Amino acid sequence: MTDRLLVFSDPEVQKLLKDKFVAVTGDDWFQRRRNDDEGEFFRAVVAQSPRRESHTKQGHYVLTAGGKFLGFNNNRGPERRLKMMREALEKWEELRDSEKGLEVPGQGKVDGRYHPELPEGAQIVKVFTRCLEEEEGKLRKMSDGQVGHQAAVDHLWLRREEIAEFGRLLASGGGEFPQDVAVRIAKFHLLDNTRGEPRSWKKDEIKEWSLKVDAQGVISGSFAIASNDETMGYRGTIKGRLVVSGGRLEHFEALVLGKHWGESQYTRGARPGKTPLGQFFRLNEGKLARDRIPPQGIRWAPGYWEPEG
Amino acid sequence: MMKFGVTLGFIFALQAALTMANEKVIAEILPSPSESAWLEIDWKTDLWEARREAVRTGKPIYLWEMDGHPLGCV
Repeated sequence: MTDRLLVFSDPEVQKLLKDKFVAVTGDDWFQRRRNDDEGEFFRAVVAQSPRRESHTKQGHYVLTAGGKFLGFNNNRGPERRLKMMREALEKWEELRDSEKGLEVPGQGKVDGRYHPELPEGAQIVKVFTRCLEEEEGKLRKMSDGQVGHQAAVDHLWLRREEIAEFGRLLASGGGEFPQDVAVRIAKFHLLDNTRGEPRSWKKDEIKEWSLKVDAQGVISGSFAIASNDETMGYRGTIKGRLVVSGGRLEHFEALVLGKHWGESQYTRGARPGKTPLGQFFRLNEGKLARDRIPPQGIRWAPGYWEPEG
Repeated sequence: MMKFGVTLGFIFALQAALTMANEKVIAEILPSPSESAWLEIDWKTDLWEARREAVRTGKPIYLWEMDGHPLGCV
């Protein structure tokens, strides 16, 4: 997330990117595994870069539409990134027109295992997560400059039949959330992802759980989740509201407040002890490309959709 | 009736207060405008589409790859 604030919020970087480049993002975990045209194209670019021998292919690449590698950088800070971008542009300018403007072939069959897409009729709930501090009984965002002070974003995907189930639940006077949705939320979305990729919770780590909606659509719940050695955990409450109309979610908002503790392999630097964490779930129409990117927890799709299985 | 009205009024006032408190916390949780400045860049999420646009516009491609989607959780 440092890149977002330090590099991509820099006016000079922004101007150069907007004026001189086509900017695109990718999840390396998926992309390096894809057994399709896009995966092959990506690997061919990486093979020309300093990342060719690395397991991870993370970083910032400049390339032509035809796949010619022009630059790479994985340092944080606008100066080095600008230097790389400018050097790559110089190489670009030296290319023949035929190298710049290659015809892009049609894309063949897509490797669906590593290219999850929002199912027909499914809806998106954006999940914002922030480390909070308690001051005189009030919760505030953690001060700037501390590790993990920025808001993190993920996406909860709900299938058409799960939304229909919410509708039936409301019509019948309310009750517990559908089991797959409840476990999906617990395992993959009640996470502290403010410092990187957290591991998801295991089913047996969900020690206490209740998540209900009443006939008016009022959501209420509480939970206690912890690793079996108790070095990492999250305990809190959930409250919100949902509205279903014509088989579609018209409104979904939920506020989660709790205390989180501990860290996992890729989320080092947690604050000591049990500290406040806030999450806000809000329905999103998915009009922008960035709103349609898959949930972090969907890397193994069956486990995301049927987390009980 | 009076007692019921007072009780109901108290509950509504309490709910309103709770909602206002929630709104303040939600505002603390959501990304601030300065945190969202990087989204002023028109980030695409489809490399093939980016290739086509690069040809159309005569520009090179800037590809940001991360383990965990750059526009997502991390």
